[in-house]
Amino acid sequence: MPGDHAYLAYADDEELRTVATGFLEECLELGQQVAYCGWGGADALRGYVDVVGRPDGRSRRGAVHVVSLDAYFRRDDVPDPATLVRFWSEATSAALAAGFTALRVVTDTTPWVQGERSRTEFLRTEHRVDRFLLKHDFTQLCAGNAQVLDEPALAEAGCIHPSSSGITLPFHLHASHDADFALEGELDAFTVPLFERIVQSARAGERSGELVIDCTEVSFVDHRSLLVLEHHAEEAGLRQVALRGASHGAASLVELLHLSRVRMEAVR
Amino acid sequence: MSVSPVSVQPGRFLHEAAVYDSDDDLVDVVAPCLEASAAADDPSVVVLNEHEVDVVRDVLGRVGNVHFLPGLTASDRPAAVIGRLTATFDRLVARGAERVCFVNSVPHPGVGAAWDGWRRYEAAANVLFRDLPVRAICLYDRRATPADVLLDVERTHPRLATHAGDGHAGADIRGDHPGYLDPAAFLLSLAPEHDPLEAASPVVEVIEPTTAAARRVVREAAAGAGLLRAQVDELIIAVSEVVTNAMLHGLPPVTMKVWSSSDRVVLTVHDHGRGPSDPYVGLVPPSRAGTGQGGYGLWIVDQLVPVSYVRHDGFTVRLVGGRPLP
Repeated sequence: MPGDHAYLAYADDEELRTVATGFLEECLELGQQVAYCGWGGADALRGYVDVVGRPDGRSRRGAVHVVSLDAYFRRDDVPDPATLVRFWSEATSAALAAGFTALRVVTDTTPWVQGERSRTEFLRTEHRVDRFLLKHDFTQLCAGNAQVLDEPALAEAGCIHPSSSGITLPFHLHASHDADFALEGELDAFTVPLFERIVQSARAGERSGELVIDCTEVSFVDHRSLLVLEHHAEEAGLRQVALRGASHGAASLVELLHLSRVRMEAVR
Repeated sequence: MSVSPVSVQPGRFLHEAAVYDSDDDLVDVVAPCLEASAAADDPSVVVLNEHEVDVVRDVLGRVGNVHFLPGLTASDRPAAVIGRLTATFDRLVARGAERVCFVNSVPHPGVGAAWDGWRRYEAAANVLFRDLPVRAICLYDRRATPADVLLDVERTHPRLATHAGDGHAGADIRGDHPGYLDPAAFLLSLAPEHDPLEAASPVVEVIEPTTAAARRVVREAAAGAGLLRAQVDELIIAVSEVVTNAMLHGLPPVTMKVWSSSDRVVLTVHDHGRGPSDPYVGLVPPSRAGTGQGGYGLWIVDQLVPVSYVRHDGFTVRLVGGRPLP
């Protein structure tokens, strides 16, 4: 199932183990390779997935992996988008070459979400991974430890994924097939700082002159959030931010505010 | 009835009301103003309803330099009208007009419009347009205008055009007639009014709603009241802004009440604060300076739905979706 990219804010190891097992288990029968990717020794990590594929042994040999990310990355240095996308791309290719139908992983991203600077890079990287997911046989559950990460950190990490559990979030920003990204949920006065940060992080390093946002699943957007997009367009030198499929209400606000760079496209 | 010739000085806004009793009376008021303006080679701006345009059609046909804007109806919003008029006057002045004659009629309950927004408009015009070289004549048809509206008309217009010979016509703006009230004082002391729907128990009452909860409640109530999609969207934007304001600037607890009928939704948001100190809040946009993300809330609300503010026992904002009046 392309595009399956969720975020879990987990309260303890038991919750992580339960959710990870369920996430991976459901695709084993579809002939997918599954992996748990975490930090520390492989023996300890195996504990998170030791029930996956058992007890009836239906899964293929080599279908269940554990990966210590310490072997590939540093905890205090978020890989840049190209590096992480290449990592998952090669892993996906290897799974397909070995005869599996897809690669499905649970990744504990907790260390990369600690600290604001690190998290900024994580948000940028994770959005590129989200785009990669759309077009490849790769699905992922990213997990964050709620005992280590505070709520703003969990909120930012969760918002950059298409869906989340363990934390209630007002909106999500995710990759889209025919727009630069899609928004989902509600944007109002109380989500402005989060929205501003998510948009800036997701767009960091982008060079296009126009931004197209799929707003079909945005159930509410206020004028402050539209001004965030107008200011982003000004600062990033964008000619235009096109809101595709936004509501009549959003169109009214754009008109009232005389926004010069935010435009409506196919108002619903 | 007549409105005496007035020498309007550039840069001075003259705001007068003319309450007419008959169609002939209407012609008597409008004709001299438009003719004097045309004779001085000044532009006139006309914002009248269809019937009034019909009545003065002959006059309009013989004077030149008249700019027509659409007549105001119950669905017009005062903040939007202020924006349109300001742009029109600015444009005419930029083109060299030394004086502008502005003949208009304002919606009120007699024509199906909620009055609160328009009485705030009439009071605020004295301040918001004060630097414009405009002579505004606001026409009210006595046959259709409720008495309490006429009382507010007296309080909000420094000049009253009345029957010739009663001594008021032509009074200088500095010699305001005795019933005229300072606009800020008028606006801050408006007596609480209630929508008839409020006589019943609200269908929903929420203490300390989140913005998301307030939007959800209103969406459900609006669906039951058969509001159009656009009306629902606008009411939801409005309630979100009002609840945001109450949470950020008011004093808790914030209480939202919702009433609905087959074609209307009325809701109030109350907090225990004193409300915005600016008497003209909502009628003009804030400056776009700074981050540009604050201060638009009530101005946007005022553009979208009928709104009234009650500064009594805390601060209450009332919003109406669907038909402005029962």
